[in-house]
Amino acid sequence: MNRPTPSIYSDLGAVYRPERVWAEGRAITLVIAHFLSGAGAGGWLIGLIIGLRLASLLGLAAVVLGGAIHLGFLGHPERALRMMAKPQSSWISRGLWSMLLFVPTAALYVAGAYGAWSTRSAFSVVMLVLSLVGMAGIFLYKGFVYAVARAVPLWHSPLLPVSYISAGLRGGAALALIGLAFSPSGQDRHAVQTWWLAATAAMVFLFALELAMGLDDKTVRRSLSALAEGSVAWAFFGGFVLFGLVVPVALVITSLDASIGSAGLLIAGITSLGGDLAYKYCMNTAATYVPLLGPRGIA
Amino acid sequence: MRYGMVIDLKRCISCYACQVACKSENATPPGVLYAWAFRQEQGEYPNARQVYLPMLCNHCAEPSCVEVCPTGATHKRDTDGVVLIDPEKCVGCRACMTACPYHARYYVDKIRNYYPGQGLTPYETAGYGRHNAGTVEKCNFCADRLQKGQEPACAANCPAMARTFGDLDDPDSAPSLLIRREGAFQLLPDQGNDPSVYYLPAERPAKESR
Repeated sequence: MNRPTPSIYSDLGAVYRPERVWAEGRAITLVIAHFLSGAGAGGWLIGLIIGLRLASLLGLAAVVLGGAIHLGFLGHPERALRMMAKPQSSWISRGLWSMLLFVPTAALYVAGAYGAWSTRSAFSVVMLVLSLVGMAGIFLYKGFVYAVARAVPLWHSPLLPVSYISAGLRGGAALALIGLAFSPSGQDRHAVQTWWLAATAAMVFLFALELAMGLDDKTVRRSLSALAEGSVAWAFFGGFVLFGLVVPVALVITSLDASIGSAGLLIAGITSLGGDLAYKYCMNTAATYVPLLGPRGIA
Repeated sequence: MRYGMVIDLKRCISCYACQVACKSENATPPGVLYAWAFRQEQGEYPNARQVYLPMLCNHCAEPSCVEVCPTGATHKRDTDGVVLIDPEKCVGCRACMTACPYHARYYVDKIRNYYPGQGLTPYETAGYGRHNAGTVEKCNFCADRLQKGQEPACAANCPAMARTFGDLDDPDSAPSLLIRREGAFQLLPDQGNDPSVYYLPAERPAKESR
């Protein structure tokens, strides 16, 4: 294939030009990478809070995997470390710093948790604190990477960073559900389920609020139309709503009273993660630029 | 000094000479257009009209692309305000593309030729050396020409003389006078980028004799 994709030329005449560079083709790796790093940071935090080491370990692995997949998106992955150059202005740069702080410190803390040394040692405490700082950076940076794009109203919302933090926590809780499925029965299931339900409620509420706040904007309405009935509708309703919300909510709520067993927890965790991935995909694919002409361009 | 351009939409005849001149000057591969034209039909018969909007990098005074670039590859030159990309620093993250409201940037995933299966033409062989796969590219106001004291190729080759190039910081320069006297406007001013490319409206009283 030697010809450029037709979309490059058809977009030149589009009033509402779709955002493609972080949505189509190899950009799916970026969507996966952002999803994994958010869920990983959430898994780390929730694992620490509820004392589920496997969740923390899964979280660390997700961040490492997300970082590695992220390299696949770059045109020049061998230059990736150069992205550390502008933390004073670039959220991507801050994100890379956060990951590079998080991964080694979290790994060293986990090594202590698995018996290499005491987690109560000063060294472990320092590693824990540094890993939490890195984790906070990972939580924050993705939302801001998108939210600073003023030309893309669907992303340019003050709520988006908060929304992505809640999505990260939900992903982390889903990793904890999976970790729980492979842990001894003595673990506190109720705490994990509560975390997951709370994070899910927060994420759905913030997402709805963000969309409601953007309804005055024609470009946001265009994006909403893409979510509701356009090319992304299958991922939004099938992936996010059905697979990512209805199925795991039913499973988790059912299991609050009666145990659904490890298989149920595993399914709830996997479907939740799948829904989060669909949510990220939808948010990237439905994005549209402000029109050059028309209401916000020249009349 | 702040280089800028005024494009007179009344003089523009939609001939695409700017686009072709730019491609010729910069030897851009297929799918990469430093200068391009937004064309749209507006209204309904009998009041329909065609809007033709020549576009290029707006070399903004407050460029959002510079702000988001994690490597410093995208930078604004202090001496003349031209926004440039250092291909040796660009990692191809494309954050600048999402930040640009003017769609001025292109990601070159690989260098393609215009005649598939026939290899590069001598022109492509000579010109493609300046392009780097895996990086983002855009108009640089023909920086090489500026260095020689020439104006950008799109302005030099416009047969209708619709493009006026010069120093916006000089109140007596040709573009500054046009902006002040003819009421030139910027695209999407609410984006806060303060672009250095201005437009003169297509529909305005005929009074000029340039």
